[in-house]
Amino acid sequence: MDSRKNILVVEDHKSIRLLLGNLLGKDYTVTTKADGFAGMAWLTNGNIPDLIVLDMSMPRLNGLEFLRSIRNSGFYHRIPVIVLSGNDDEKDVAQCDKMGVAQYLTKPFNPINLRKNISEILAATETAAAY
Amino acid sequence: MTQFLHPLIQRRAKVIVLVGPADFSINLSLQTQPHGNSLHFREFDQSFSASAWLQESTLGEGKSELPYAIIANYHFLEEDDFRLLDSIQAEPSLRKIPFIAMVETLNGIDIQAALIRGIDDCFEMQTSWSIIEDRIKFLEQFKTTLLNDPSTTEIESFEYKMPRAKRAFDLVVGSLLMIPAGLIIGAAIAAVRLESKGKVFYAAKRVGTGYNLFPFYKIRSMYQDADKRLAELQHLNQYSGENAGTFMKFDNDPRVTKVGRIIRKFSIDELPQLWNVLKGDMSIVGNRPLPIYEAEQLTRDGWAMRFIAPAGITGLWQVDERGKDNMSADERIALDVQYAENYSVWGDIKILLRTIPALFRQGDM
Repeated sequence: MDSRKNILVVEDHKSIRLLLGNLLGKDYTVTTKADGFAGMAWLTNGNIPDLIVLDMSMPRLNGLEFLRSIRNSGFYHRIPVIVLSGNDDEKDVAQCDKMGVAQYLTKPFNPINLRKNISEILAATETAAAY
Repeated sequence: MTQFLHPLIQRRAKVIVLVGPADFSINLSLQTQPHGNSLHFREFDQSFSASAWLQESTLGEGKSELPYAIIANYHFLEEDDFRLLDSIQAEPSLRKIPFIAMVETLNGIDIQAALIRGIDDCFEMQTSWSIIEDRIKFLEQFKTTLLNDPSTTEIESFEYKMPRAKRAFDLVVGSLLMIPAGLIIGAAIAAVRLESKGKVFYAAKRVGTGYNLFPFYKIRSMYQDADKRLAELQHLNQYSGENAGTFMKFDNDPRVTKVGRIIRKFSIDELPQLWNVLKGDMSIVGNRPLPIYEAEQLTRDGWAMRFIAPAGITGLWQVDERGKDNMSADERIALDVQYAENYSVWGDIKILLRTIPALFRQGDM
C-alpha cells in the first residue's frame, strides 16, 4: 500500500541537485531538473509529484514564474512546494507567501530538518486527502 | 454550429473553440467576464463537427487560422471515448493548441491519464475566467517552445556510488593498517584507563558521504566530567565577559587529559576510524566528516559538492603544507570540492603518502 512518494527538485546548481537527490533518494523517488522549463515539461508529460522543492533564480523559467503557473493550474495547484532560495529578498518571500508555499528556506539550509519537514508535509497532505 | 463573425474579422481575432452540450458556454463563467473584442468563441455540441472544423483550420495559411485554445466539457469527452482528443493528438499543428477541460469537480479525475491524452489542464466549472485565461496564455507560449526543445526529457542520475576500486583499496589498506594500529590502540586503551575513569572509545554523529549520518569513532581524550571541570576553572578562560561560556579557549585546556594531549598530537585518537572504513561508513582518503552544525553551513551552491564524495580519514587539505590553521575555511572547502570532482586511486595513494609527514607537523588534523 505504501508506495514511494515522488519528489521533483527544480534547481540550477548541480551540487544542490546532487545533494538533495542523495539526501532524499533513500526514502522517496526523486527527479531532478535543472531549470523551471525542464521541470514544467516533465510535469506536462504526465508526471504528478507529491511535493516540489523549488529554487528561485533559474534560467529560462524562474521559480516565481514556475510557482505561478502551478498555482494557476487545475491539475497542479494542490502540490505542496518548498522554496529553497539563495536569498531572502522580502519581495520574493511575500510573493511566495501570497501564492502559497509550504516553506521558504534559504541556503545554507539544514538538510536534516528539510527531510523531517518533507515527511511531515507529506503525511499531512495524505491525511487531508483522506477526507 | 454557431457562426459569430464575418470571416475577415475572424482572421484577426483569437478564436476559442468550445466543445460541450448545448448549455456549456452558459454554464461557464465566460459570458459574464469582460474580455473585449479580442476573443471570439466557436461552439460545437458534437465531437465530429469540432474535429472536422479543427482539421480544416490546419489547412489555412499559417497558424493565424488555428484556434487560440480549445475548452471542452470533460464528461462530454468521456462519453465520446476521448475520440476528439485522439484526432487532435494525431495532427502535429493541433497538438500545440492549449486544451482545457472543464469539470464539475476534480475529485476522481485521473490526472495522469488526462495529461497523457492531451488535456493540458482541467478546471472546475465555477473557476473564474481570468485564471483560465492566464493558464491558456502560459500554455500557448510554453507548448510552442517545448515542441522545439527535446532536451527537457533528459534524466539526471544523481545517486552517489563508491567506485569499486576505491572500496577495494580501503579494505586492503584498512586491514593492513589495523595491525600496527591495533597495537597502538592497545597501548592507548591502557594509558587512558589508567589515567581517568570512563569508556575508552566514543562515537560522535558526523555527516559523511552524500550527507549520510554515521557514528564516528574516536579515543576519548577528555575527562568524563569535562563540564564540571569547566565550571570550576572558568576564571582561567581567555575569553571573558559576554563570550565566556560560548567560546572556550584555555592555554592548557583542563578538560583534556595528559594522555589525551599526546594521542591528539599524533592523531592516535583518530585511529578507531579504521573501523569506520572497514564498515563502509568512510574511506581512507576523502573529505573529512563534519559535525552536524558545521555541515549545515556548507549547503550552498557550489560548496555542497563536497558531500558528493566519500568521507575520509585523510584528505587534500589535511596534507597541505600550509597546515589547517593557516588556511581559510574557503580554501579548505575549495579543496574538498576539488577532491569531489577529481579523485582517483592514484591520487589517493599520493595523499596517503603525504599524510605521514603531515602527522608530525604542528596542529590538529
